[in-house]
Amino acid sequence: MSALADTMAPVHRLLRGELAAEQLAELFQVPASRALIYQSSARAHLDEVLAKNYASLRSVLGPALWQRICDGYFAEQPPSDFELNACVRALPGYLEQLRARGEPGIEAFHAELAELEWLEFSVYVSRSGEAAPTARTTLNPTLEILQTRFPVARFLDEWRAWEAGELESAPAPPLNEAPEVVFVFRHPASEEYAFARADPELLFAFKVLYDGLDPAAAAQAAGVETAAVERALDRALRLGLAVSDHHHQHQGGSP
Amino acid sequence: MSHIEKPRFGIGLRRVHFDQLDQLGDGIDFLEIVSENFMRFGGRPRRVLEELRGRFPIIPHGVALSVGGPDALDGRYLASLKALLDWLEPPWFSDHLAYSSAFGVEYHELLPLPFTEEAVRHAAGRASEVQQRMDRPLLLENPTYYLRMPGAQMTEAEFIRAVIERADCGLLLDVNNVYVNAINHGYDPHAFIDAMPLERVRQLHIAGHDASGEFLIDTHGARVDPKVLDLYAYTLNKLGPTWSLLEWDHDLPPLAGLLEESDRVRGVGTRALGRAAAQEAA
Repeated sequence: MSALADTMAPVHRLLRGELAAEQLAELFQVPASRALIYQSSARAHLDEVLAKNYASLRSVLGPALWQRICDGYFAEQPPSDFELNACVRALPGYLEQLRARGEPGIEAFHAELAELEWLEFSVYVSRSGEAAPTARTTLNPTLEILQTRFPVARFLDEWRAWEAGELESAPAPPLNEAPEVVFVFRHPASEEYAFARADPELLFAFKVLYDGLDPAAAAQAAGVETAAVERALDRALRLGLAVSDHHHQHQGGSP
Repeated sequence: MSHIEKPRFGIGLRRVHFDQLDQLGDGIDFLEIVSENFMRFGGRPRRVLEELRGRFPIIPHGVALSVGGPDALDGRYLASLKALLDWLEPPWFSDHLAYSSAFGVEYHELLPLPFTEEAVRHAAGRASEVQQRMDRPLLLENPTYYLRMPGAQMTEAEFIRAVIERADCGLLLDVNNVYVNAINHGYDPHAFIDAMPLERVRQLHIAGHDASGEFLIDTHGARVDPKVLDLYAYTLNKLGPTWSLLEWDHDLPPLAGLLEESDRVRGVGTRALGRAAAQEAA
């Protein structure tokens, strides 16, 4: 190892929490408070981005369990991407690992809730939405589909409503399996993330758009009235699951 | 003295101001972005940039190049950066004379290099390579540092000059960083400015810091300290017209407050340049 790398090695151990600030201070003959600022700051970056991208999961878990998870994630999943958000992509999988190890307080739905929150961030910054708008109604190019074993989308809706003061009591944790399909996308007008729980009408709209059928052909294939197809497509457009040139024209304006 | 004719004043573009950008007017000559906040992202950040890039020069300022780091340069990072630069076509791009990753871990923190000949060779070689691969001028910024790494063979000023000259790149001189380091490490900030390769300075940074603890912390979270403004005036007096950027990243005021602070910087800068011109004429 070069002298340069030799010098960096103890700093690495400090930032990874393997060396106390006092130990580095003694080694480098510097005040411990100055070593501590680097150690605290490197750790805070990860904690802050975990809290930002998994805000609901954090509040569902409560401060003590959340802190334990952050500590473990920091130790076991060293940040390896130059983009800080990308460094917390692995949290859902990490929660699965914790549950498999029998970590108290971690339920199966927590990983799915984390996955849903990650997808919200993911569609918010997705590059897929840069495709040129078309005159036809099409699926939102940022669309991601999440299939869950537990009804986490319903729970997340209710949890956020409760946190906003719109519900009197917190929803019960979704501990029983009740599979959901969730559409997650960036809304073409607001440019904010959104999700919609799939129901038969939205699944039908999705299939029509995915297959690129026009309403008449879709109605004939499904044996329904054309008006029913149009209703489903209108709803998909209103939600933002689908986009059209009309919607794109309305998302401009000054930044 | 600088070779540009007109001073330019800019601010950092931050997401919290996206809804207030219609307030940007004649008081701002250019914008700076944190490169990594835009390199991979689409959606609103990208659209905002798309709309602004026709109105202002936009300078990408990175925090993750890790020009002094021990690991190989990150090819994915450089490819993303190149795509951003090719899109924005800035006159230059910048990052820090520091390292931010090592041994496979990204710290997302700017760490000081030891002031050694080996570190000069290492950082200068990589800066030169990055500049060539990006095909446009690279400016390296003098960072703040709280730890003096062991084994120093030269002063901080000598170290910066050696890297910049050997890499044949530009210097982004952060005046607040000079002040913070001078106080924290006990040297004269004016003498430090005098020792910089001023002919290579293309841009200045100016920012607020926190003076409430046992040492100064470069927070970019407050108004600019009057002593830093004095040092900025001293620097401009020596440099002549250049590009000045007000950095504010934490506890951000509304855009109107940021623009007000930028006007203050512009006022100090304009007066300093006026004095310099008068001295030169006399």
